[in-house]
Amino acid sequence: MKRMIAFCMLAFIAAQSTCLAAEKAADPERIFYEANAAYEKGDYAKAVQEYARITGKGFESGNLYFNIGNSFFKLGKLGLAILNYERARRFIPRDSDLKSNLGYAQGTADDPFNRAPEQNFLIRLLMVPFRSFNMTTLTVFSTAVYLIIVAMFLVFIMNPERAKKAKPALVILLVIGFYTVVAFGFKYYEEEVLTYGVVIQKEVEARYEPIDKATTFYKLREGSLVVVLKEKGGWKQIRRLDGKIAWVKDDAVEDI
Amino acid sequence: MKRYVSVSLIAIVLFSTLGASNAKEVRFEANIDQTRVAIGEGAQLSLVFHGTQDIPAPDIGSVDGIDARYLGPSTMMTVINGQVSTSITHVYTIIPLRVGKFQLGPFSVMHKGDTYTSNAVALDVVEERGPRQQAPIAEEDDAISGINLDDRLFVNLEAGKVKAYVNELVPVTVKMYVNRMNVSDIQLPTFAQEGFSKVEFKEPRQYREALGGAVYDVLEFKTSIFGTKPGEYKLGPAKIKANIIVKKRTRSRRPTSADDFFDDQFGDSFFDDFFTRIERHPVEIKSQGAPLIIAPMPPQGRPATFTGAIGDYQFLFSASPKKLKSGDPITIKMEVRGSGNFNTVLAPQFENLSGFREYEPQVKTEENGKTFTQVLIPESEKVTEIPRAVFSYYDPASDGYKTIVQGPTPIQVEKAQVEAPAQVINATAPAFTAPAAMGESPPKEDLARDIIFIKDSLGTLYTKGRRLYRNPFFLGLLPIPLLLVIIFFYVYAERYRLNSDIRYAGRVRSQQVLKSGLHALQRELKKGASHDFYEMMFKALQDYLGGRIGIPSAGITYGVVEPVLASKDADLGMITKLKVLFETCDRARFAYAKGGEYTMKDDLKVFEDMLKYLEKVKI
Repeated sequence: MKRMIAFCMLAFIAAQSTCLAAEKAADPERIFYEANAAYEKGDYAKAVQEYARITGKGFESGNLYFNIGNSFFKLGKLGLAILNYERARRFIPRDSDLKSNLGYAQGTADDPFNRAPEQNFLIRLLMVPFRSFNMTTLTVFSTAVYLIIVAMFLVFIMNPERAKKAKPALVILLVIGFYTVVAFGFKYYEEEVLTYGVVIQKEVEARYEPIDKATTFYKLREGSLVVVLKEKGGWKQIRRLDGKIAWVKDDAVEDI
Repeated sequence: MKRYVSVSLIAIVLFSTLGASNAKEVRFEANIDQTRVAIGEGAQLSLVFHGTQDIPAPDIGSVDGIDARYLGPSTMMTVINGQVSTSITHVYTIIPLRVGKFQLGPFSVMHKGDTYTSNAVALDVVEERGPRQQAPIAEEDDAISGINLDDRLFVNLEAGKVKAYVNELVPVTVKMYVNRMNVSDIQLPTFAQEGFSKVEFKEPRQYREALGGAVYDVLEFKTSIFGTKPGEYKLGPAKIKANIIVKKRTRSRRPTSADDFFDDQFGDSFFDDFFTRIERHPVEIKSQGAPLIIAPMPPQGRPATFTGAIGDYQFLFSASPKKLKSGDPITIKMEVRGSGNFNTVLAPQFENLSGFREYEPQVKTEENGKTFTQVLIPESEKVTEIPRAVFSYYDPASDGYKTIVQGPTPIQVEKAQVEAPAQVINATAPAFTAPAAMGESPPKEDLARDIIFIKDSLGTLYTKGRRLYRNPFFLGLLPIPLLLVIIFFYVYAERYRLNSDIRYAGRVRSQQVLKSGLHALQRELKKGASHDFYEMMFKALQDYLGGRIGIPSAGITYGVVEPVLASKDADLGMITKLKVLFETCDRARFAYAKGGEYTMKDDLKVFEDMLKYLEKVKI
């Protein structure tokens, strides 16, 4: 009887939380369609406001950031457009529309340092099979490979005779596993350890020191992609993709 | 075939010349390297046969008061203007044994029916050398100071021109002449360079040169310099620092030959090494100066594009790609090749670069050329050509300015795909005209570009900051399969070992017996049933020892266990106790001898001690 009561309580809690989640999820959907309607009417500013309500509720998606990027692009805010396209890229890296829009926006920004490869050739080659994976997909894939390897080991432990026959398959699987783990490590480093930012102001002076009067090292254009190294007293230390490190005002660069 | 013919010809010429040399008259002469020696010192006697190389060492006989030893032959063949001359020298060491004046020779040799007779040489043997002779170092120092270095060692400085323009390269040669001296540690020449560019000499060339009837070993250093300001200058004097090597002999001497030039101190014979001491005397040899007039560049005919280049040059120009979109870069490669002072060659100039965005050229300097790589970006599709590139220089050979023009280079610039967003949004679709006739290529379509429309759905919605790879629950689950593998591996490995390793299995079983047996015995002790107690003890002993020794427990008796324990150097007292324990058990089991509670307790204690001890013993 006690077990029955406990089961009913758990079922009730689960149903309640499901309903709440559904209600919460439905809300962003509605807002999203309203924002899209505003965009279609050419009211890009309102569209941005509506999309921002969804992110304000703690939700995000690749399509949402794509649409925000489009809205900012139409508003002529190239930096914010690229910023949101870059955010979208972390969710939907395979999306051809996104690739096209991001490429177009970067081309419009015409920043020669925007396309400098951050990774060297070997790492890029390593990442080719996983380029279209976002972090979550890569996590699921890596976990699946890991579980298959574990399962194979268990079978082989229980039946060593079979292990001898299937040794090449295990070796191949281990190589794939290792490769996946290394790729995951690089992706994790790129997206979770490094903080990328985008210049969101028209022209930004990057200085040698975090001081207003410091010598200007170089100038950054709106939409330029940089790596944010650290923040200090209203300044951000950034590294341009060609490796040159300088300081910019923190409102000039927004983290992806 | 050609090689065979040439080898045959050489061989014929060689044999014919050798034959000719054999036919020549043989001359025999005797030389001694010093005519005055002290007792104990040695002199070197050379018997030279000119015109032959096959006469064996002559027997020089014996002279009273002189000890002579044959050192060996040395042959020589020289070819001068096609004339071959050969000789063989038989060398002897002459050691005087007493004071006096001696005459060595004339020596006679009979060979192939001919008799050859040499001249005689005189040798004056003294008791001891004079002061100079007793101090070899002082003698050699005097010898160095006595050498006329002007004739034996000197440096010449030669400028390739007596008049040059500012920035014009002037070849400079510094030659070091050495005659019959050992010179080492030769440094690069130096000279004052005020008014001239930095002097950098290349690797020197070494050869021999006849000068004033003497043959010199020459070390030739070459460089090029250029004057940086007009004026009358005197190049040099060039200075070369080196060490003169003096070989000091305490016993035997040999005159320095021309072959000693730059000789390695280890290159001498064993006897020379034994008797010779090497000393280095640093010297600085100076050359004479060389007058040089540096004239300013003539103003007549100087083109506006002249930037200081002087020499004889060619100018090559290439651009790629020539078909591109506005905003795309064109790489311009401009090569200036030839001879002259490349330090003053600057990038050729374009006549008018309006319509282009221009970047600084990258410069690569080589030995005979300089390459300028420059990027130009046409800013609109209206640009149709790269303007003319002009390179001007002064040619000293023709004594005039020259200008080389390349271009203009036609290019085809298309409208860029990337344009301002506002323009693109309003762009209308271009008119499409059907091809006039079949086979005609369709007209080029000018496609517009804009961003792609927004997405209709939200897609997969994520909660901000929540990701699978950050989820602690997920991360906590990840090690579990791995732990499972480890546990499985351990369990299966244990099971495998128990099945395959009898000794290990026995030991494990013994441990189990140890634990369960002791508990059971304590229970029986409480009951007071002595027969059952000893029966159980005996069974426990059998099981434990059977497991440890690795034989079936049913076969365990004291007689079986004792030799095993003895072989493992077990304590004799313990073995005895084990024997008593077996006997006690047997008595209780078969004779039904009853033990009191105290006896059982004591026996259990002995049993426990026994097992503890056996646990420590490696069986």
